[in-house]
Amino acid sequence: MAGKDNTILVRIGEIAYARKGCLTCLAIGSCIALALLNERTGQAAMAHIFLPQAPAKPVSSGKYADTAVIEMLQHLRGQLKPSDCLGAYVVGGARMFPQGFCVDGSDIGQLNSKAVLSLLDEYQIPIRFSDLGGTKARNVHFQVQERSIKIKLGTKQP
Amino acid sequence: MKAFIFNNSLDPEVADVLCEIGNVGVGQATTALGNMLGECITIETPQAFCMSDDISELSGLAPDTIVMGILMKLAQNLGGAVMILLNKDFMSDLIGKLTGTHYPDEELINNEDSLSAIQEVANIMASSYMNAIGAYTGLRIYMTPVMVGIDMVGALIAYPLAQMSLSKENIICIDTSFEVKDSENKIKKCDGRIIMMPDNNSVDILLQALDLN
Repeated sequence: MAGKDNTILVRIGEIAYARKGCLTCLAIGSCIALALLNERTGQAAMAHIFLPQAPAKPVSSGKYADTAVIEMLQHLRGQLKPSDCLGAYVVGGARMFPQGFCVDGSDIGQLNSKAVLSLLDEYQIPIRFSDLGGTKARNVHFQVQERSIKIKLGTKQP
Repeated sequence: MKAFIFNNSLDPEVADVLCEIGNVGVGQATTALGNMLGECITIETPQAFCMSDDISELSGLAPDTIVMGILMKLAQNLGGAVMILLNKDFMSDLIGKLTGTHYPDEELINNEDSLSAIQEVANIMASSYMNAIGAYTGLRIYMTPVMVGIDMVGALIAYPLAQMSLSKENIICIDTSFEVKDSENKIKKCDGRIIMMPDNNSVDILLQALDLN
């Protein structure tokens, strides 16, 4: 839903589609904000991904990297001609507590980043912009028509 | 007693028990904080629920509000995490009082002295919380040292939830908010929250300890 300033808020586990306005994910920590842009038609999609891999029966597809990418591709590719090309914008995957809170030594931010990057590689979607890792949360604003992405940190990076 | 009924929703009776556990813990933890401050703290009724898709609603704040998050992992016989969320300015005041030095925002968790004071306050709160629950259930509960972060509330909460979701599907939150007011109970100084996130196995252990399974 478009709010004031044409902001379209994408909350955790959601996927939003737009041709204009500003797709926005707030408080991206270990989550990933993944925007895919059809660079010919200007149609864009953004997902707020929470986990790298979906369980057997996922409740929502936007929550997991694998199902989110497939759903976004189906939506964007449905309107694609073979020559069309997509561009990806990825932000997030931070480690919110520097000491870490690890299960089996794996950090969720890293796992999310890895999962998204390998999916983009698998579907051969070139990355136009990426800002992954670190220890700080980010607000992500993707201006669809301008094709520009703005990142705002909540606090200063030490 | 089974913790989950159909649709992965929490059994209401189990939810009641978990709320009571939360209540016991938060009562003790806020008393400890109140003693440190000499101020009045009111707590709200805890809520126990299964993490839904919309965790952005969990904090009751805009997700990009900057707060202080204190995180501890439960260790040994219980698994999961406890998170304490506190107003950053309030914590800055409190640390100023305790150490006699005022630390500006960026220094609050980067300065060794102030970080150590924060960890101490967090330790006192978290161990009162867990001690009370331990005494109530007869369980011996261990925790890892505290981790402190100042950042957006949505990202701070999502972190342990996502980390735990990797291995467990249903995450239960026992969530209690509290308010710190001055000694005359008039001026509000801080909104805080303690969220306990036991893993599924630990919920069974807690219920068993209370002879409820």
